[in-house]
Amino acid sequence: MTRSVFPELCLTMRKLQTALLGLLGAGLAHGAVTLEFTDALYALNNISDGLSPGPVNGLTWGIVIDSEGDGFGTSPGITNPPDPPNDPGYLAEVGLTVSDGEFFSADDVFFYGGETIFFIGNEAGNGAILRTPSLDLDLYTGDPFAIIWFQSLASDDTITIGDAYGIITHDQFIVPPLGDVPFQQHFSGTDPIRNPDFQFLDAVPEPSVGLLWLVAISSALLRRRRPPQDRIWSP
Amino acid sequence: MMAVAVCGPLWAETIYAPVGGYVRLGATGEGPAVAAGSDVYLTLPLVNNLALAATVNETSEAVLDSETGEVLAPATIRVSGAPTFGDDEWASGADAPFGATITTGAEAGLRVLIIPDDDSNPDGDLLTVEVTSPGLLSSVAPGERLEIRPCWTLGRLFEGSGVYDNCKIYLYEVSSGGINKSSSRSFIYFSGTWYNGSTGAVSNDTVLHPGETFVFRSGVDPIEELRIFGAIPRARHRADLSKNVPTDTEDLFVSHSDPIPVPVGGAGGLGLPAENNDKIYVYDNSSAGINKSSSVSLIYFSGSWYNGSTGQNVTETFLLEPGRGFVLRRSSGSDPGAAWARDRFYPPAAQ
Repeated sequence: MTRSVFPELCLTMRKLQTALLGLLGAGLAHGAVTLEFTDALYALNNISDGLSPGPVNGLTWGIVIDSEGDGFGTSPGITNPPDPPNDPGYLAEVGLTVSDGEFFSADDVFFYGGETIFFIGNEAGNGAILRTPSLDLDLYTGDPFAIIWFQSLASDDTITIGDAYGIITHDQFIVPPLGDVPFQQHFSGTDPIRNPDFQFLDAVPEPSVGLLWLVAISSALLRRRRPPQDRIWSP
Repeated sequence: MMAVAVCGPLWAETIYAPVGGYVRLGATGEGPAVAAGSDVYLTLPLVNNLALAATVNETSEAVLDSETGEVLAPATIRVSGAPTFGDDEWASGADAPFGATITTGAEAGLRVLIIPDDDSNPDGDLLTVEVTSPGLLSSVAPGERLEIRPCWTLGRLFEGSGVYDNCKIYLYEVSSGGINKSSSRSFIYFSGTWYNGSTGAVSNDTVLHPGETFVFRSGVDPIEELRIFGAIPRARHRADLSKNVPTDTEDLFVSHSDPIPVPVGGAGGLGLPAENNDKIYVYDNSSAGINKSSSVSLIYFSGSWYNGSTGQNVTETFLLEPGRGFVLRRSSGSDPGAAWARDRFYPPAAQ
């Protein structure tokens, strides 16, 4: 098999770096964080199953941390709501599980948050995302994070190609050093329906597939850049 | 039941100390009270043993400079029965400091710290005091009852416990707005003495107030037992919930002071003057680690408390354990001058 080893190498190095930093940091001051997205006045809700007409409770959600500050996976311009829908999506290593510390791509690490539920309050409703458990995120303080939720995956499930997910982020979504930190103020007002419009793809495409894509893209570019001969050569 | 006979002048009387005992602080259940290198959120579920019960004759509020707030004349309490207190009898020396609590009437639960006066004359029936809880000293009517007890201090609270060198205590007195505050004062234990972490001053007599949440941090070893021995508090619980910055969302390190679990709401509950979107953060004293975030959050909305992770209404089911401090996060719109006064609801077995 001639599959490229570069992504796996990046992933392995990143995990090794995490482990080493964990050991080195053992004697330093640490702090746990809890990230809050819904309270009695502000709510992140309407997390919806795309196959259902209304918001759904019980969907697994978590956070993904962009530990290198280079964006989340290969999905360009994740916005709220995702734009455009059905974007090519977020890369994940096929076979990874929905569990704390999993690297969904070479440098983007996942932490379990909970399940969407109905919540109280004047902004409350079905499909609300409340708050994470207490998380030890010392290694990621200052890194951007996004909220991710899954259409059908539960905690510890194995990710497979085609599994649907939704993801949103905000320029103020930065991992804090410690404490119970509110982010719900970014979700005031009526929330839009947020469907799991993305799908997990294979993080490491087969070279043959990649080559086909390269040929296709190159052909398209060459076709657009080639001068219109009839105009050049017209008398 | 322990009986303490106080003989002598007319103002004295025989005192029957109420039922007391001890409460384990730190982790609940089996295992060490404090894991190695870990924080536990503590509060005081017992009062110190009674030193004197008396009757109030007269009170006066402190006189403050209207511009600077400087105390021009301290608050005072005169005690009935013509006692003959010596100079600063309750305010200095090895046994000090002492505090007093009003136990009856409209101002029941009002607490004062007995402080030295500015002369060397016998005090007679006069106590010079500093009010340390919400309440109006001038509203304490003659004839109301008063109890004087040694204050809990760093030195007294952990006397004889398994505290060892380099353990720390962090206090979070309200001095600023905001959330996730750093401590306002820290103390380090070394060779039997607590030292101020900033100045190095000996601090064994630093007072820990009822209703205050503070953090105890162990060093390299676990602490198997951390107990507080004392008496069951009877007087109304009072705590200051005022905000430093009225429009801020603000964390307050408060707690109840019962030696039994208390429901967060409902009959017999905390009785907090909560407003919509106020929150309570509870910390897992059994888990290892420092600078923890909460393990449970509770959110108040429209008369009920909800679990911040599950959304369940836990008004009458979530219990706040004795001796386990919590953080009250008051919402930006809540009353900036609120105070908390709560009567006790002990079951018959604890009476």
